[in-house]
Amino acid sequence: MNDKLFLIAIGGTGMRCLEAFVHLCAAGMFDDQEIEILTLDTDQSNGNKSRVEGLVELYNKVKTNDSSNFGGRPNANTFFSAKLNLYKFFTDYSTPSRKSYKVLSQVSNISNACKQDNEELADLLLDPETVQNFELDHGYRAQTHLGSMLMYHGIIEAAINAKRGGKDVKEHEKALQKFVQLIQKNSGNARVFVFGSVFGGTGASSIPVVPIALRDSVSILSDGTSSLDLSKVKFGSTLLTDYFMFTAPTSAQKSADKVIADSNNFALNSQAAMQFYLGDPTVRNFYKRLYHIGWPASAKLDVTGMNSGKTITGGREQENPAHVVELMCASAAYDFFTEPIVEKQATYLYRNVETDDNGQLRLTGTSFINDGDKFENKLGAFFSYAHLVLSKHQGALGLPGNEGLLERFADQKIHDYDSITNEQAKELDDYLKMFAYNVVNGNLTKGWMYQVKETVPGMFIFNNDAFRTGVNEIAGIDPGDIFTDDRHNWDKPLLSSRYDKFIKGLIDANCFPAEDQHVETVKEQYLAHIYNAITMAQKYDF
Amino acid sequence: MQTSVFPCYMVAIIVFVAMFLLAVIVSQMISFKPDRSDVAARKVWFWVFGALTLVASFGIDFLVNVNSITVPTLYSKFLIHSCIAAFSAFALYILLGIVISKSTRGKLASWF
Repeated sequence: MNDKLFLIAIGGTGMRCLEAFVHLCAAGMFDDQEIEILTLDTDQSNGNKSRVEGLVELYNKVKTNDSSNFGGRPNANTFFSAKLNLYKFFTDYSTPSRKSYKVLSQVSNISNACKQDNEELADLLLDPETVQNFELDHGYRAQTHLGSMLMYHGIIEAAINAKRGGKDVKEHEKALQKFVQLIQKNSGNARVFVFGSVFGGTGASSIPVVPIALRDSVSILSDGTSSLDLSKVKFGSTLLTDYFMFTAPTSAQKSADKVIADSNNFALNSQAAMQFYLGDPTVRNFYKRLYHIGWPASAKLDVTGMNSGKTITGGREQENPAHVVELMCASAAYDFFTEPIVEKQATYLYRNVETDDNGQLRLTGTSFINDGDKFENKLGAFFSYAHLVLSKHQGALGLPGNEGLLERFADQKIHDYDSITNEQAKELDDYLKMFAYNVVNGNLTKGWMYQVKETVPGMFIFNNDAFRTGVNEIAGIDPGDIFTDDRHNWDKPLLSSRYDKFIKGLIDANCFPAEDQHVETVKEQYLAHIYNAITMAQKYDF
Repeated sequence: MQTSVFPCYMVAIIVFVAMFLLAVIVSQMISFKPDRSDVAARKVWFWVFGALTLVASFGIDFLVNVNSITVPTLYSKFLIHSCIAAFSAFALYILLGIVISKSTRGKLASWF
């Protein structure tokens, strides 16, 4: 695979899909890849945006050995194998002159007649009392007819400012410029995947306009000397329909905020969006693959309780927990990035999942990607690693997790990783806590994997014992006993434990990093060693 | 009447080999534990069997070879060589333990 990979995560849902994608990268699903990631939102303080940007930064810290190799380099057949480069962009509506469409769209130095024409045209399409006056800094609030226009405007405006240069160019505008120029440089073999929902505000607004906005930005940044051939750049996207709900806003809230999203309308929004995506010629020409991902209405996640019972419009308080559909979206990105793409026009893809005799979901590796064994092996290996550190070495309970594991290497006279500092070991612990769980003030804080499991009515790949939630039960989790198929659980010796066999196995020559893993730094070598030991113990036959 | 002290050293060698093998077997049987308490356990058992090497070498040698001697000069000679043999076995036990611990990976590396 020689194509250059780009990912754009848009809006709150897009950010959570990106979170799932980053965890798949940590599990080693994207070998030998350097992936450029743009976070795109209207709401710079959005809780989900902050969370995923913090996650990517922590991922990069894990891969960084010292100041000379920030973010590490791509590896193969190991954890954290992909290199991730993050670019943060947002459309800035924080100042009084940009707070709403009404003030943002004001144009000076035009005649009164022209001004009136503009207002009448706007009033025709955008309700003058509500849509034109709500505050934009928490997003487009499911007003996609406004959002598409404003998102395009925001991207083009940033390109113009970046082109102008000088000290007034903002950091997020420079980030967008770098991202766009990279796409231009690799336009012959670029694959761009867009994460976003179709039922909300920002993602739904942006997905249709992203290809054109990028094309026009390239033109602006190059003064018209370059262009982006959209027939060569391969675009893909998720079409994620509604999967969560929240309490309907009160009349008082509607009156105060003018426009506020109502989850009762999400299904209708989704239906309208799907009709658009099926019929719109722009989308059909520019996107090669569209992945339709949905969730049963009866199993929607109610996020009201997580937001103190009130409808949150955005900002720091909007930080919804992870959901399994976001992992499905990340798997869609995996499919787009790894499978050959020959389509000239949009292809709409979906995947069926199994249910058992009681109608409960039965999610296995093949529920997510074609090579289900690979998915289970890699995600399972990373989950085992998390339990090894957080449970067995009690990293979740405040003890040094990876530091303790490194001591086990030194005990057996494997001194290859002695130079890993306690701080570097702690960064790995912190990542694993975000991935799986942590115990804070005696209470379990569920990380991404546990949150995803909670949203599945039925089986989620691994056995239920692997997801114990009692603080007193955490220490009893066996990292080698997480699969429902016992063939892939670690061998259990008669007179000792799986942990004992695993640690003993670390001295096996096959566990040491191999040349084809392309690992150079000590941290990368340590991760490769753990990966080799765990995947050998899991006995997947590739 | 036997006057050669070779049997003293034979006993010491046999005891040394037996104790060392026991030390290896017991160390391998102690499971790795996340809290690393197994490291201390293996060290303890190594020194226990080391001490037993010393005590058992001398003790068995005394009972088998020395105690039955009635000639005072021979008794003294055998007693001295029993002590030398016991301490030699102990020293060999420690030396071999260090060599194996430093040159091997795995559970036996815990000894030193």
